[in-house]
Amino acid sequence: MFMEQLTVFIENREGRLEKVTEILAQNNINIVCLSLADTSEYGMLRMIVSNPEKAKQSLKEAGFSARLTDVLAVKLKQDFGTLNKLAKSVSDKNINIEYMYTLNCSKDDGAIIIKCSDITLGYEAVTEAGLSLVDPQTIYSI
Amino acid sequence: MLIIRFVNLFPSHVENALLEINGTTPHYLMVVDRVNNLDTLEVQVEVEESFFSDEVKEMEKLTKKIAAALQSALLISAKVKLVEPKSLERFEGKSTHVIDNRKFDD
Repeated sequence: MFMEQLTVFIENREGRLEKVTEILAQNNINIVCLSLADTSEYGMLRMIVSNPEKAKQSLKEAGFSARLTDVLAVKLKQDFGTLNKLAKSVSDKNINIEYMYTLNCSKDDGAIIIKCSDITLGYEAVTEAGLSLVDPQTIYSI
Repeated sequence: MLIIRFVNLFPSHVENALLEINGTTPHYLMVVDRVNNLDTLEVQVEVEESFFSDEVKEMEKLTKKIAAALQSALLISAKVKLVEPKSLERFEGKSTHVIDNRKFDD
């Protein structure tokens, strides 16, 4: 039901992102979408990939710190106010959105990844807003 | 042992401080330098999977926690830098955890 997100710790040094993408490419893993949070000394690369477990293992073997986290992938129609509806529903549950990024932004349908401070309440907020989750299997098979 | 700002420091103090935080001792390196006649200490700590989070705020919390533990163990302030696993050099035999870049000949 929940989407597995792969997070990798990378130092702010030349060639580190290249190394991560090289390992994923060698293992035939597709990056569906990503978000890079940068700080002054390191970056947190968050990705939705085609095979999260294999991606994590191959990065670990290459010496990277990588972990999998459950996040919510929410379908959002390309229409006014859909994100507002979701944000309001989450706010009504008194929980925070820790971070979010776009999963898909085609003309007909969009989808976003959100990490809530409480995933169960986050899921309730999604359903109460009349929204639904993206099936992880459809994303892993892209 | 090394002396920074008239304080005697032992790498084992750093080890104990790191151990208290996480229950394990991650690989670390103490880098000593002298900037404007003042000794500086940077402690580089490898980010192991056991204390790696997907949230930046959790990582910042961890950095502050390590800095506070080092301050109380060493009695001087140290800059904490999180680095990738296996990025710090390993030495054969007795491991060296200190790089001293200070120049004493002037």
